[in-house]
Amino acid sequence: MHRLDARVKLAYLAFYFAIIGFFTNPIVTGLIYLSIFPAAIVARVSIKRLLITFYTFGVVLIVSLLMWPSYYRDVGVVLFSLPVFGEVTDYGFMIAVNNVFKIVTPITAFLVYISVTKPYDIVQSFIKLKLPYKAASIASIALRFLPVMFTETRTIMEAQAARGLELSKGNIIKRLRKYTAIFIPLIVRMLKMNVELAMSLEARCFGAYNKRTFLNDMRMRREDWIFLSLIVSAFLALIFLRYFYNFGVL
Amino acid sequence: MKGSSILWKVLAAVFIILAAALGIYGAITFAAAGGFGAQNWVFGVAFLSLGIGTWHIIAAPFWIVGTILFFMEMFGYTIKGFKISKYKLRWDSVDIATAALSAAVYGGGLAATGGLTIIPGFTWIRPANALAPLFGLLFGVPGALGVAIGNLLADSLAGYLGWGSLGGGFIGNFLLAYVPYKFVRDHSLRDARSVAEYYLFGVILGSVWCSFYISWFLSYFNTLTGVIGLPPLFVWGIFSPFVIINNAIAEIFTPLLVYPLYPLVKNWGLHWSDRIQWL
Repeated sequence: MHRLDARVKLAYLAFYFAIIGFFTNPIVTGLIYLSIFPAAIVARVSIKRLLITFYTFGVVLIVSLLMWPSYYRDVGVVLFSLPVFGEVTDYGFMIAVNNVFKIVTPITAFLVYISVTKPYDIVQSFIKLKLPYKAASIASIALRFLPVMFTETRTIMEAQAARGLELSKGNIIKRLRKYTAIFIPLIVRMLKMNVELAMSLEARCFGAYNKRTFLNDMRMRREDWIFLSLIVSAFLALIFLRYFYNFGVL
Repeated sequence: MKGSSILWKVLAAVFIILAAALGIYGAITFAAAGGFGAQNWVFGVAFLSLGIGTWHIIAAPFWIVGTILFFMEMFGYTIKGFKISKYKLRWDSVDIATAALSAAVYGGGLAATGGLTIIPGFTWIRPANALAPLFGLLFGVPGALGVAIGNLLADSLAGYLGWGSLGGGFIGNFLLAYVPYKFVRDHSLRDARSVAEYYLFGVILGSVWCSFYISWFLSYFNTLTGVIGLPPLFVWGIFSPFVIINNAIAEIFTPLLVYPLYPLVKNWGLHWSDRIQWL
């Protein structure tokens, strides 16, 4: 999974984003969701990261089960009744569960994508797909500096706490106001990094040429074409079954 | 002249109080009603009383105009004095660095400052939302683009990236930074008029536009395609008013950041007005 071309991994992500919206049967959408996990296991995605998606799954499930069945109270057999929210029918329950999978499937697929694709390869894949390389560079540099800025913010918070700033005390207004003592040093730090980063980019002739070349140029290999063919075939097959045999429709 | 200055000061005070009242009352009533499962939150009830169909009609222009403005700016066109004008941003290493670091700071700030709890373990305000209009006022379009990308990165790291982040959150957050950039005349916020403009347009209009942009996409796109999965009741009854309040309450304090940072940004030649070329 890690060795695949980044464009193929992007196609894999796009497959899940696109296919999940076509079906209303939670068994089908559930199977589509579960099909991500073999790839996650092969790619050795960290359990901690997957647990984040399970937490999201739980929260979305609760909201979905509370809200969606209210649209379908008159359709299907009543299973049970909830206080305030009313009766839940089998049809409403299935729609609710189906919508949970619609929300968590793209999230989980993206998690696998970001775990198996290096930022350098993400940028190159977007450039190969004709996105302007400056736009791809913004995303790549932002991704590179995100943990830096996260750490800087934490460091400033600790330093200010050592100087007596108590962020957790006071009412909402006072607490929000105290965050100016965090953000002003952070933005000043950002301005300095901005100048340094711009100089580094200039020193490397960023923007000198319209077309950018890469040291490790991406090329599609046989395995990439096979995997891409599998993704496209799976997509077309599912669409065919959906529209000609009503597969996956409640 | 003195009379008009007093008028702007009064207006500024009115808009600040309005924005603060909206934010604080909304946050407290949201927590009291029970957070994201609330059925009887006063703002949610008020929104739902108009009906989901009505909201599809009201919010549609916000989505359409917001999308047009985004693509116009990306292609070097803007609205200046009620006319479409062409401009040129160099998009050189300075602009790229500005956009990238705005994204990193906004995304990292969202993640690091986490949530300001109203009731522990239940509801929260995101202090880093105050950075969105700041980046718009200081850096213009690169700053606004950075905010859009930063929100996308924050969503992806938090495990929330889905259709809503791509189709609604990206341009919605761009607008959060873009609206104060476009509507506030004096970005130094050193006079009463500019402060009044900031609170009216930047806080109130910006928060509403961002909320309507995302909510319309989540609700209407789902009605058309069934892809999103969020119930419209949740979108208009809880999500939309909550986003307005969450943005407004943090953005109330942005002028406290703009005031000391504007001279620094100007001195270093990083302000958007020093980098734009009108054609």
